Amino acid sequence: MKYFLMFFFFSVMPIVSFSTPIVITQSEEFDLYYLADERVPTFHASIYFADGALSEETDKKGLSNAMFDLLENGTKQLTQEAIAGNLDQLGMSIKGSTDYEFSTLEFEGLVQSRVDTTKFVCEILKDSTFPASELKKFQTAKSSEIQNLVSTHGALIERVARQLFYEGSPLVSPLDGNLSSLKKLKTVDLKNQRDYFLNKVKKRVFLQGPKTVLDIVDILKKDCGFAKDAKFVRSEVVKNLNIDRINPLIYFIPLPKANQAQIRMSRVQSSKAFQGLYEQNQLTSSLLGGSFTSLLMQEVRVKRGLTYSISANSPSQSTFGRSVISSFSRNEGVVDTINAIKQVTDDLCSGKVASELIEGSKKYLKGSQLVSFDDTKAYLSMVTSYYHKGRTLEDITLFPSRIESVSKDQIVDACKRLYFSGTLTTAVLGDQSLKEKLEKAFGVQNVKTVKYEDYL
Amino acid sequence: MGKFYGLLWLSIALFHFLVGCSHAPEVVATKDAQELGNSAPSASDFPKKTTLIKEVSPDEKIGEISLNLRKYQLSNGLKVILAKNDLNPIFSLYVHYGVGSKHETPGMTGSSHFLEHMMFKGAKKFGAGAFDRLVEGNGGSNNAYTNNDATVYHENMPIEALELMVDVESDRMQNLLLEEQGFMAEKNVVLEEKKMRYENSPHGQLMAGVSRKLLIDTPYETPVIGTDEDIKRVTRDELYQYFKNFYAPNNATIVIAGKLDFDKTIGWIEKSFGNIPPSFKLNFLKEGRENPALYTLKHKGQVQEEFYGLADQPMFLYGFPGMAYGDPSHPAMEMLSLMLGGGASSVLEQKYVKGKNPKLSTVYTGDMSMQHAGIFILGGTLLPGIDRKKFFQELESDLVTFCKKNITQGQIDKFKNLLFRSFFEQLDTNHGLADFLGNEEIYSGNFLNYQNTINNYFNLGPNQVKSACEVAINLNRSYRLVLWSKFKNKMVIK
Repeated sequence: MKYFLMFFFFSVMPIVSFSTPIVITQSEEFDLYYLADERVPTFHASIYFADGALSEETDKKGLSNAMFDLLENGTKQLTQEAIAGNLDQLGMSIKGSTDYEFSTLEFEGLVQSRVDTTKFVCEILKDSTFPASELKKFQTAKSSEIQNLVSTHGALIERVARQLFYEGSPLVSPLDGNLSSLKKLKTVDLKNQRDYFLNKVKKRVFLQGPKTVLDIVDILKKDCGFAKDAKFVRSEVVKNLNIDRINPLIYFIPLPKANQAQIRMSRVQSSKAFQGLYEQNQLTSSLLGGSFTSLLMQEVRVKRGLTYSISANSPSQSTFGRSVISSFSRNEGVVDTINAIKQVTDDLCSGKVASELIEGSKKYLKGSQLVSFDDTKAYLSMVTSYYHKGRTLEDITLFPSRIESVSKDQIVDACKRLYFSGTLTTAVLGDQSLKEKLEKAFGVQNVKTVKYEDYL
Repeated sequence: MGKFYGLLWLSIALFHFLVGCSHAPEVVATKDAQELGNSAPSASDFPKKTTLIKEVSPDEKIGEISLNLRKYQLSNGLKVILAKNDLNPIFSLYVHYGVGSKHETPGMTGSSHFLEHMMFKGAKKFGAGAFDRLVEGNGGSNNAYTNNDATVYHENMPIEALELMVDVESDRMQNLLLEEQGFMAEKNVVLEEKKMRYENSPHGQLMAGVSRKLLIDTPYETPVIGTDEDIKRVTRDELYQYFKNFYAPNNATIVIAGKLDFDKTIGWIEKSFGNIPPSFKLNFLKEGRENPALYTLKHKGQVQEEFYGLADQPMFLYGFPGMAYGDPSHPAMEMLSLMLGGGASSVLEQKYVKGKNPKLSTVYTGDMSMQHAGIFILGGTLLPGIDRKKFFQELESDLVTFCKKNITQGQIDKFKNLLFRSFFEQLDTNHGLADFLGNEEIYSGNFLNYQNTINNYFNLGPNQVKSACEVAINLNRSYRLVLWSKFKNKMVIK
């Protein structure tokens, strides 16, 4: 494999990572990251905003998510119905999403319609009016969706467990808000949030498609209302998240008649557990639960047949991150599954792992990165995440060699930092009968029962 | 935000229609046919006859799509499609076997899917437990899926591993170990998967319930994952016999897309697969299941049922007769799906979700095409406080008039770009392209059928869509299933 790295400061910086080049162009409105892909006549663009849900006031959680959701529900000139007709006519789609520290507005369409598509995106971004009638419909539908989470056990435990794990920090609110905060949103809040993103927040544009799509860049600069001096970056101002604590409790969330138990084991930490440790954390998570050959998959699924799926990963943003093990099992197997997970994690944390497994994981991760370049949209999404965390394309290029250099001792350190069972908070969602099983196995004092209804 | 077309309607179709048997007659006109001999250096010791059936050069641009393809057939019946893409030094390898749940006999339901799990446990040459280690240890990932018509295995890996993976796939095609110990543990894994996909998922329950009702008394009636009873009962020897019956080169199509060398790759395939004998009893085993007459949908009348389900708000799904994948009217059915409930401006989305008095939090439509039959679905979730009887009356009244009122050339033109984009997006990765070409080959017997599809999209008019609509949106041949947690006294769907 060849790695090429070239920097041209000031204007254009073409950088090659493997055989797929990304060209970076800087401007006052935004930095552009372009990835050429001539395979099909479609394009994809993602506008990155360097702020997210942490910008929201306490009683208006879910505001950014609602703002992006409602962009296409009316502008000064167009009704919701007219906007929907245009979206279909252009063969395009648009989707906004918010994370804690950043947000993205993605759109994609046919190359032949790229100019009209981009102009239309700018129009609804700049001129959306967030009509009160549409906001009301959104609030009703969103509340119904949240209440109906009970039908999707995996999604329900994600919502509840995140709040339990992030308790006491600004990260505790779900990104899409909760039933009480959603009711408080008003049209003026949505407009103000949109204007804040346009005028104050730093932006990057990630673009993929045939070379002809580069002509939409000027449209984005001129028509979207992006202020030239928008410099705010959320990750630079979040200092104290109050999340570095150890809480090895088991939270039990009863769900009547559930015939399967959902399990999440996690530790949330500030950036000191993640910064400069990306490759070590990635390799450790992959070795533990990142693939079919991982330690957890082999022990819990292949050897014991306790689950269909189990995984470990350690996603992070700029100022915080979390390590999490996710699985599910039949009700009668939940205690065995938790114990098996603890055994596997603690064996790894004490260095009981064969070196050939480590080498296998290294090859897997290096190959996975190369294979990921095939999906250029996903590749750009990875680049977005890298840049958000202060990493660059050079870090992507150096990833294989850095993975290769991770030692067994560093894996043990990462395991202790991220996955040692004594530091993990556990959440179990399942039938009421599991309460007694969990208390008997782990001690009444170590099991706390909470109602999912309190976290909607 | 409204509908983000990662294209739910299409993904529903792909999830269910999934591939069929590779026994379909070869209809591709032979062009530049030649016998490969010493041009494949690694295969020089294997004088098997491999025929180049078709070549597509990147200069032949069709509907703005430019592909570099070759199709071969080995003397043992194995079909091979190679797609050259030099963008990155990687490949996706798909092996489509023409065996799915429709081939299962009573007592053996779920065998195709169970066998799919067991195919990762190891084979003779590389040993037990080696498969995943070989794939992941060489920087790749793998998975598989099973459906009514086929079972498909796939790997995405750096190009250096291609020769090895061809050999590994040939090992498990001919020499699966299927060891007793792993077999028993895997039963529990499959049962947990079944709970996850169906029993704990209202969407899964709705799909299973509607499929079973619409496909009754056809070979598609059998649930792909099988019944608990059969999964627990099936023996290792029965499953091994099932493997021996259906895993043969003349029941498989290999598709590889990536930075490959055509001659070297077909040489490796010849070397690894060329000596595997075809199954001579395959026709006998399959002929009872491939007769299109068996798949005529027998469901009649307007049937409605309600069951207890996990949904906090009533969730519903209608099933109507659809069309088989290879049916020339299939593009019209895709267009119908967009116009009715798939697009942001579709009739049902605008009236029931985005309208002045919304009644649904979501609505969706889908065209679930299989090899010999299809189902058209329409589903959604009611908002709190909506009178469901009145809602269904209003909805069904709209459905009765939809085909006559709403299908115009203007409406069709409005949705065409959406149709094209979703089509192109299937082809923008190696794995998407490999899966797509394999499906085309198996379903239509012609991996170049996409050329017809593009032309059909261009030429779609009101008459075709109206015809499709009249077949599908027929309440006299419909089934409506509703799940709700407040149906306390009703049964749980099994």
